Amino acid sequence: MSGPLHQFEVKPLINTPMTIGGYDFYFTNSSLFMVLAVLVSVLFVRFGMRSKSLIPGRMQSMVELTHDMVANLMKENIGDEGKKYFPFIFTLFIFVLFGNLLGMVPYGFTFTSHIIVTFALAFFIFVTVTIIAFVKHGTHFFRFFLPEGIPFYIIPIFVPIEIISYFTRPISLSVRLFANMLAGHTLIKVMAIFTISMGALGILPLLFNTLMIGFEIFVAVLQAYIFTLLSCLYLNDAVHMH
Amino acid sequence: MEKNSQDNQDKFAALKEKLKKLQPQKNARNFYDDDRKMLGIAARIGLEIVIALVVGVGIGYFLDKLFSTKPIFLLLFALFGIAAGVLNIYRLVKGNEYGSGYKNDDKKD
Repeated sequence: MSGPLHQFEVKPLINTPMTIGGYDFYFTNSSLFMVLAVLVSVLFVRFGMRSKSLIPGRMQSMVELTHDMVANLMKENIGDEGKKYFPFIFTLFIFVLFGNLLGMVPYGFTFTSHIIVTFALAFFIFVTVTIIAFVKHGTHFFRFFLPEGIPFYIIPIFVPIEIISYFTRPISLSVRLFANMLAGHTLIKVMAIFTISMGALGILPLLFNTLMIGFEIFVAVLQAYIFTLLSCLYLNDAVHMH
Repeated sequence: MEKNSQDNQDKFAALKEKLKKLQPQKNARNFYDDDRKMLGIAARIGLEIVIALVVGVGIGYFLDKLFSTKPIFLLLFALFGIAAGVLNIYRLVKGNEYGSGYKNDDKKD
């Protein structure tokens, strides 16, 4: 019987690496599920919107609800200036959502349960948002760390705190998603092992796992939502500096 | 003209009545929205303090390596990290999220 952490193992699917610039790149199960997430999301939107009818069918409703949810989120948090960033945020949401949900499929691999993946996403957002802020506001961006009108004697305390607070963003964004997915999936596996090893009493962890699977699907959606919400908030700070 | 305005008034009254009936539904929906927001905050709050401390210690450690002044910056930035964590939580709970500066108070609403 494999351990509860066995499911997070990254293994190459094709044993011959691609060598680019002296580095070996393997196509792993993680890569496979990322590709799958992209394919599934493209299929979901394309297939859902194939008829483009005024009165939507079931699939079209799902696509439209997803779209409206993200659009409303952006409207609430950024306002009309946020409209041009919609493709970026929507892509992000749907990629993380399908990444989380594909991990709930039996024998699936959850690529969002690896900190390097979520950190790459979060760092990309962080850099993009910082660049947007710089392009929009120039050196006024540094007002972020030093608001007008603070007394000069708290500047040496205030500025480092603000800088730390700013650099917290990519880390808390990535750790939150990664920790939630890792913890949930591990707990499910541990309970599954209990079910087998406890014999007749195994019915108890089995019942717990039944609830847990439902909860995990909820967490998968919630974490994708929170990831998107926070990206929107960061973007809002970048667009509307004060 | 007379008749038209009378018609409009009737329409207006009817709409008002309809709105009154729908108001509780709207309130209920707001409550749900608030609930969702609170859930979001609850899921995030625990992490903030730890992460800010880790970032602070990281920056301190890096600066110490740079100037070989172990452990002055480490201690200093650990304190700053704790302060940043508390600040983040304060802003999160107040609904300012991560926005920095004093003037955020009038940003929302």
